[in-house]
Amino acid sequence: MEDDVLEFGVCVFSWMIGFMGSEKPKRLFNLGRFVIIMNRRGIDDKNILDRFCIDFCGVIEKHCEYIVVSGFVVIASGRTRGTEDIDIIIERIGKDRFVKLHNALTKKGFVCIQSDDPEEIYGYVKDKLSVRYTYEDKPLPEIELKMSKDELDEYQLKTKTKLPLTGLDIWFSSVNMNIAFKEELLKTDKDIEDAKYLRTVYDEEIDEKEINKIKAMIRRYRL
Amino acid sequence: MRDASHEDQIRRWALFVKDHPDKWKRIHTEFINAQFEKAEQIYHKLAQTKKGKEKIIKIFNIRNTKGYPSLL
Repeated sequence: MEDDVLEFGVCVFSWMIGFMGSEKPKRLFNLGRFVIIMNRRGIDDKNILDRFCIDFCGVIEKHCEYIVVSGFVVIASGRTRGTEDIDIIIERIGKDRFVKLHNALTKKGFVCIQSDDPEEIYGYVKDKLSVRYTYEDKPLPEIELKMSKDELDEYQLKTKTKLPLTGLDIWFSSVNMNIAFKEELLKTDKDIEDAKYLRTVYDEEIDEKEINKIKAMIRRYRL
Repeated sequence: MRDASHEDQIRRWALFVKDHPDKWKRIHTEFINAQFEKAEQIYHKLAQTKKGKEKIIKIFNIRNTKGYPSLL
């Protein structure tokens, strides 16, 4: 720990010297060391999926309501399993708003895998299909984006929450909601394990009455 | 269905996350990043092989190829 503090001090000092001398390579080198020390000290510990999700949500939150659902809720809460995509549901919006949203995403370096025509993409989401976005020229990771399609999705959006454990300032569907979907609708081994994981990590927040209410809604709208 | 030891491991890790809010994230970050770094290495290698780019386009079902210029 003391070594880290010393290293941090030396780094800041040498970065300032480099800055005063306008030695660009040295400044960059020392800035890099600064970032490495920050990372090692846990000040900035976001992973690739976290950053991707933060970047994407940073754009959509200016255009509509959204929630991150399913696998990434569990992974952001610490479960160590793989995923290639982050599922997001947005509120129902009209074509003009969607085109603006798509253009804003494009401006920030995202592309849609299916098409670069926002009207065509809107046609998919309007028809309750999902569309996939990635960083330009980088097919992994990806966002799977859907528009709210029924009262259950509306309820998910209405009960959205932030999850401090994740360290991410983004909107998630509630823990109870994710447990209900995984236990009542999805039901694969992976989903049942995800539900058990959420039940352990968030045991103080589990509301069986709410989970059962959502399960009843799932049976009504999705089964 | 996976065996009970797998479920035990998931539960043990969940309890570690719950009880060590300042420690789990770094371990988790390394795990998640490693998967993407490995995948990126593989796809980079694959892209250099004969028909490798076509395979990547097929794997990800990329229809908007303009968005992925290095695959063209």
